[in-house]
Amino acid sequence: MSVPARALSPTPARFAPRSAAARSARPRARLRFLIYCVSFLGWLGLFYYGFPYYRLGLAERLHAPAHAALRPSGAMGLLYGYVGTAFLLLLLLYSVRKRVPFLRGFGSLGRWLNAHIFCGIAGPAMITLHSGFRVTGVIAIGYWSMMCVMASGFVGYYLLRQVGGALSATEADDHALALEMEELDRELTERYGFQASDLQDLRRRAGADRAERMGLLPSLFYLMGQDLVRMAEALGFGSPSGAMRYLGRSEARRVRALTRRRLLLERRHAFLRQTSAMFHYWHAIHKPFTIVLFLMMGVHIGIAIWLGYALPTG
Amino acid sequence: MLLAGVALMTAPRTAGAQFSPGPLSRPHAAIDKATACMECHEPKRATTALRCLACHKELAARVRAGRGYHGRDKARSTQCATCHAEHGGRDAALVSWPGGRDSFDHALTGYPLEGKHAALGCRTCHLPALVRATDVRAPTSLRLDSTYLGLSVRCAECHVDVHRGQFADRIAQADCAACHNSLAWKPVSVDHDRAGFPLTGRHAQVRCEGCHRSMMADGSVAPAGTPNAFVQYRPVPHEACADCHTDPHRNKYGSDCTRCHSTAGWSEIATGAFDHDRTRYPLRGLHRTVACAGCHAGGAFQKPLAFAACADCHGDRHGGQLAKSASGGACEACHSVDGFAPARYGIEDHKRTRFELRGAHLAVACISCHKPTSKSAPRGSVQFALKAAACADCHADEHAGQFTAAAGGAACSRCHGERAWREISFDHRKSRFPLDGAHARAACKACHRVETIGGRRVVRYRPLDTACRSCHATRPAGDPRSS
Repeated sequence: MSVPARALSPTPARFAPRSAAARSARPRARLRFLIYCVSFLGWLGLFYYGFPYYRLGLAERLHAPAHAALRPSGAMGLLYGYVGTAFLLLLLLYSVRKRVPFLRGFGSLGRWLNAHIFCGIAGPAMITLHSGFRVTGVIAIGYWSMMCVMASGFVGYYLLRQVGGALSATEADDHALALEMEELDRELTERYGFQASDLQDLRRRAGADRAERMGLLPSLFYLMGQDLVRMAEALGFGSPSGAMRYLGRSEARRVRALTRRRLLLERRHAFLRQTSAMFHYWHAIHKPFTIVLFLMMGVHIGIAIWLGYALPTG
Repeated sequence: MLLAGVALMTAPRTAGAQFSPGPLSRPHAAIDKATACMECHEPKRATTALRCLACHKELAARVRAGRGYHGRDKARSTQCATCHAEHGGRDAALVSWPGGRDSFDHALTGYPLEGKHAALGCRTCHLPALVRATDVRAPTSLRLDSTYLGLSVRCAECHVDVHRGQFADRIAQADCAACHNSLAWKPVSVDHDRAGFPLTGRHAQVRCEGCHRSMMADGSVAPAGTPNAFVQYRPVPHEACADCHTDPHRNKYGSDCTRCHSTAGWSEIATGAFDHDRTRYPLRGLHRTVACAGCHAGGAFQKPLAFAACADCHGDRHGGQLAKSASGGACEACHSVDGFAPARYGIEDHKRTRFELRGAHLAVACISCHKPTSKSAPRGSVQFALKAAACADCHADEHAGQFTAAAGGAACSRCHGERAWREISFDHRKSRFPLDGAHARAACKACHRVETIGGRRVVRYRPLDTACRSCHATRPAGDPRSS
């Protein structure tokens, strides 16, 4: 992220106060991060425990000591299956929450979405352990549907972030975007001496000038590519402006946050048509895979129960 | 990246068997189809032994009979999938060995591997060619090169019969262990009694090869160790001793050696066993009880023995006293083979001597007169030749020499006879004092009183005073008889 040299002027600072929502979101994000870390480490531990078994070929697994426990119908394999199934069933509550007005009083939709996403990741992770990293036959359709649902979930979440967290692009969203951008422009200009050309440069970098001409998928790839570059820069792989060295640490962080936010808003505003359309189409992918997933899961569980594999077998 | 990894690891391998968790092994390939799940699975009961045993009839029979590894444990016979997991692909081995195949406890099959057997690999014995059970060998049954069923516990089913059928009856009874064990082929522990020929005495010390020779298939005898040779254990002629032993008597005494000999040793001839009548000297009387070695010193039966006279074997206990007798000292004149005593020498024989036995002498035991020559002399060593000219040669003088002056020195016979000591034939009328009147009625001891003569208390017969006053005292004054 480059910063104009004028930002180094000793003009008295006027820091824009953070919103209350932003202040309360940070601890929650940390908690969410912590939950994800703990869950991932737990899963990694289970994977490490079973790795000597998972790495074996199909024929060799039969004679491995851990086969009795880690095979899908084994004690641990079934436990993984039950837990994974529970996660997959829990994530459906998000759809229920969206559709049943009565449940609107039970937490914000954002929290339900977070839980939905967590279940959508943890469920497949546990089901993968249940499968022993090996799926064949008709259940493979269900398994890969589940993976598609999870993958499309990531895309959907990304698109949701692009459209600003709203579940549909509306005029109100557009207006709110414009207002926030004006506020950011004002702070960058008055506080850090950004000129119109600097702001124009930000809009150019956001791809605002070419957004109109881009189709849906190119837009998606473009946005993702841009985010990857931005992530690389944030990790130190980019070439930050030399002028940033003359700012204090807190001020430099603030300038980066303002410009990043400004860039994202500009980009969101510029690609709002495409991201809104893609988010609409995304449902057409996410839902059918979900239906196939649960259909196959039902068949699988039904056959397993019918054949007597609901409990660990000797 | 995580997704890519998961995708790579979990890529479906087959498009078929949509409802199967994996292809079945090759032996079960025929039922590896979507419509055949129930061949092995049972609703609500997963896989059951019932389904498995419905096809594996050879195993079902063993489970029912409680035989073998599966039949000996209920868990093993009801939870097939524990060891025989399926859906592992065509090339998957169908047997899981808890702890590894090499550490399998074979005792669980009912046939513990001991000795040399314990060191053998599974497929040393579990070979298709050694599968004997007909139900396992059936064409529709198991693969012989992979099954562990169907072997027999009989030794001969695995081991070559090096005895070339000699013990076919024992082998039929799986009785190899009567001689052999699983530790080693040799040494054997043979109960030779079962062979109908108990090894006793010296036979027990003879090495097997001494009787059981190494033979070739054509019946010829081969040196031990000759390739393709085998030891002939049966039949080995053993009815007669001569089947193995040469007859040093050249059939002189017949073929039944056991009449004289035993397995205790060639020289150990059983007393009384030999029919000595076949010799020139039949044993009679006490000779029958004499041990062979008593005559045949050192068991040298072939050594000639003189037997014409008793003295050829027996010593003369009489010390040659009888050499000048009428018989010339021939033992048989008095003795027989029935014993040294009693001798046949009797009263009639004594008549022919200088001292015919009469009266009480007839009742006197020989030894009373014929005393042992010495205190340590053996039985029979007595003094035969006696002086016997006068009674006093044998009898003591009970009269303490009162009659030694009698004429001819044969004073004894003047009063005594040979019938009894107390038969006195003394005639007092011929004495110096004939008894008359009241003297004839007087008791002998009234006159012949006991006195001490020569230190002995004897009856005084002579000399006695014949004067009246020597016996009758003078009657005192006043005695009425004197008036």
